[in-house]
Amino acid sequence: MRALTVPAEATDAALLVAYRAGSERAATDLVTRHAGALARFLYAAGAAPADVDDLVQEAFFRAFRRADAWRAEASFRSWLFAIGGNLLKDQFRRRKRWKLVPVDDRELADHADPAADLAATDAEARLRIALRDLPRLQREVFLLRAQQGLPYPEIAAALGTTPGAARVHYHHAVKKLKESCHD
Amino acid sequence: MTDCNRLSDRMPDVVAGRTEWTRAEQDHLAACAACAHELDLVRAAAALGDAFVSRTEPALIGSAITRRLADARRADRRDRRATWGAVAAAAAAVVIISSGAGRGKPDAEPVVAATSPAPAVAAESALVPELDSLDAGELSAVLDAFEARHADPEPAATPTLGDLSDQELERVLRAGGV
Ligand SMILES: [Zn+2]
Repeated sequence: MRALTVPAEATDAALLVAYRAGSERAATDLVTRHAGALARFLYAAGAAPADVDDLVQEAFFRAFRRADAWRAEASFRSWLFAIGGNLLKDQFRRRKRWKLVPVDDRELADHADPAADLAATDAEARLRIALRDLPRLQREVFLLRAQQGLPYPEIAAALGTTPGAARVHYHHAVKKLKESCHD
Repeated sequence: MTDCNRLSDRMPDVVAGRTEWTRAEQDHLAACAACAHELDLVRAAAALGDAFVSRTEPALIGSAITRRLADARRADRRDRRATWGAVAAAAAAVVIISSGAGRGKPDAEPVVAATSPAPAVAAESALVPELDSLDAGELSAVLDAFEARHADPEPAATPTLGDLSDQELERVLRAGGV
């Protein structure tokens, strides 16, 4: 690929354009910028710790391969998280099929990693389990808002819903999590 | 909107450090157990996975992804070449069948009509690098155009396969793997 000079402070959109113009460095910069946040999001959304790196890699790979499909209404980060969320859902469905059990994306607790949960604080373990019991959209909206700090319009664009509906999902999630995590 | 709802909406931004509580909001938080509990929840969510992230290596993941992307691009090019091979084979077969039919009838109209270089280009697709960037749909359109011209020949002053030199004919046949 051609070498392309990308300024260190380049926006995600500029890096994506540079990547499409042939800059591998731009792709690496985007990975460095967002891999940690994506890993935290996937981990919080119920990915087994041993799977997180693979899911992160696959999400970036798909994002770059589909770079033409990215539209600026959603930030690159929220678009990436939406791809990661879909991968996690697909992974969960595949595993459910292997076990020949009906699909229900609310049953992520089946894939909990006891070692990771033991390593985490009690509060964190409780929160992860409570998150896994939420419907997928509530879980992802809650994490994108509370964990990643994204605004509702961006969350809505990434998840294919409206900002108003995203806000409702968030408040439903908060209500259920408060009940689940109440001492 | 109640104070509780307003605070609820602002909690993620305050926890992320993008804004701060006003004095009135601080007073509300001190007095409202529900909001205090929710703030604890948002704080816990914001910190969720912090310990896990320290075990990931973005640089290693980055280089693995760029290697995969390079492999995928190579595979794309291979697929494109394979598609071209198939199109060239089909085009060459059409040319040969047509040419055979034409030669069987000495008085027949010329069977390959080319008012533009398109038919020869389609037949020799694998030898024309400019067309290498076409996708399968575009290639198919080229082949369709070729077939359409063949179905509706313009006999007057149009070159035929017979106009090709032996060398050109051989290249067409080689391109089609015939
Ligand atoms: Zn309150």
